[in-house]
Amino acid sequence: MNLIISPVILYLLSAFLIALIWKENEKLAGFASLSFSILSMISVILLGRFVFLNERIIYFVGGWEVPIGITLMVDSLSYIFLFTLNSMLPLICWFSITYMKKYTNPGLFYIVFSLISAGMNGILISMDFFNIYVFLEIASIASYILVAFGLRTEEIEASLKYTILGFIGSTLIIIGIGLILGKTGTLNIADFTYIAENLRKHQLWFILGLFIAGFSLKTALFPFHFWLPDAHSLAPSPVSALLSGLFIKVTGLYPLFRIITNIFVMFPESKIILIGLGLASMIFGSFMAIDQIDIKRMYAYSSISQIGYCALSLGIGGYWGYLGAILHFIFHSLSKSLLFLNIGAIEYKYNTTKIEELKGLEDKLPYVVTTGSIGMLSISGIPPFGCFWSKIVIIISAIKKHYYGIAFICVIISTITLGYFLRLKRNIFYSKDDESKTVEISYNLLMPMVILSIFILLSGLVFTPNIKIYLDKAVYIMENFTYAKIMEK
Amino acid sequence: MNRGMSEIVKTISKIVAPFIIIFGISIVFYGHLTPGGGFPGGVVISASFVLLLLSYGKEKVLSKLSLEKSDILHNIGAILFLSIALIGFLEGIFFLNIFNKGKLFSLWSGGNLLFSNIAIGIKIGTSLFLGITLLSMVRIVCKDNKIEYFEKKEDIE
Repeated sequence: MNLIISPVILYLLSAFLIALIWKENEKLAGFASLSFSILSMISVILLGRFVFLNERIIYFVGGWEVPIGITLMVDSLSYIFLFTLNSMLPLICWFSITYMKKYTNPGLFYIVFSLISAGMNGILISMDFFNIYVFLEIASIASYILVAFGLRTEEIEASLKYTILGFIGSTLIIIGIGLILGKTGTLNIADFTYIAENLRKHQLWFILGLFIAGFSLKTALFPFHFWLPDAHSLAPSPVSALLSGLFIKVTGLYPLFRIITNIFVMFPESKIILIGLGLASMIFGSFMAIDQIDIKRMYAYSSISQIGYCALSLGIGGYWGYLGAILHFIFHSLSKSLLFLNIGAIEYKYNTTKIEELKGLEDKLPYVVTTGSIGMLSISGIPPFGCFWSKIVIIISAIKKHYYGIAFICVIISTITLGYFLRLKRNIFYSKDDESKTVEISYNLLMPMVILSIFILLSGLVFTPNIKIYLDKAVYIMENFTYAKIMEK
Repeated sequence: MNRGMSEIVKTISKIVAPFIIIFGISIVFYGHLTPGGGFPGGVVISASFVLLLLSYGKEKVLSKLSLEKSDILHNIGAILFLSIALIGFLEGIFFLNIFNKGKLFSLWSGGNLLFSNIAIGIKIGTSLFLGITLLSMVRIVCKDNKIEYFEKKEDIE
């Protein structure tokens, strides 16, 4: 099953090959990056058949068995993340081929882009605490570089803030991993979970607390969110789409999914922490987004709010809770990437992201306005777009567990989301402007947005019923699977 | 103009630098038998270049190992390491050690470990040198909310 490791290999190969050629030929660098990302998408699609036939695929790197070597695993839960990630990376890469021409050295972007993609793919396939940490650091350090890519003073300041807070998060995680190694003598997740069933509980609580704090810092849940608005609003737009749509979910949310449901199964109480963090970031993020004057900053606060939904749904648990968390991950990734690419296209034409400086885009950029409206309506939960289905599943999950207050808050926050997006639409899309001529926009900028918005439009009606069988398998894994079962076989 | 440090430092570092490189290479080659390996060996190799950089100034070092050359070398080191891992695919598994294992405690005894160490040594040696040299060459000044880069100390004012 060499297809498991092929995304990581392809992206690493692409990073170092592009590093050799980018000075001579910048155009070729972009196309090389795009073709490598399409290749890795194809390999992940081919992998899907084996994953759903065999329930899970376990791969021993170098042929070494479980407690000794590096072990990789893909099951239906990680496959859904892997598929979403790898199908969106080519679109973002396609968009950046034109967008990155604004900057002086676009060739460098593709190197770091390939590295961050390799890191994110690596997190999703590894079954080893230390490997997760290593890939997390590859992805994080690449993201610090990408945030500071424009080299303006504010960007470097945002990147510095992000770097320091990111390293604090990584340090918390590595302390937890060190305690695990000291306590059990193993770093393999399956082996650890098997041994941990016999350990004393208060020691494990401390490790779990470190992991929740560290990964929430990467996810930017409420008390750990300070770096996100600066970093995501000042980065180049495709990078914001990558970070907000995929990076925070893959590096933070996916490990949280695994830790809460599959690794530390002996602490069901830990879900209450996630409900609290999720509610706090939902409320805080949406209230902060109302009053922003910069569009990208508003989107960044909206990301905090929507990530809160995922964490809340994971905390509520049960079939509907887990289903809602997975669905909201997929649809929010699609919608938020679409919105950031959208604002990137506007920024490419007008060089500004301030609300007051943009007017009457409806006549100037009709396609951009259409796709942007689809993204905004989707995030605010209007049927039949994607996020409506995930939000209603989350509300159902809260009602099923008799958390009526939480369901009410979900509805209210969704309304507030609609409110600030409607304000944005009125101010920048549908306001009157004296000059109203259609502006030419590059094909490369437009096509990724059109593809994403078609996916969002069809997601609720066509895809969700058809992919439900795969989602059910992922939910089954979150409900019933623990890594210890791999060792018992 | 007499650049760099005093004559004593220059003479000693000129004598010592080749030995440091050889010591680094031996750490790389015997990584699978003694403590060390590609990373520490690479650090020692780059340290000898940094020693020359500190004592003689950047011109002398860059005439021996130019920035372009080390830029290409460190990418080639990474690709070499990846391709050693890919050789395992010949028998079906990533990173599989398919070479002949040789005699115990001799230089040829770890299969692909020796090649991996050499690849990492190239990568770390050149990239660390590249990083330190670039940091020593460029001065970054933040003035009136603008960042400027200077290559010489005299240009700043």
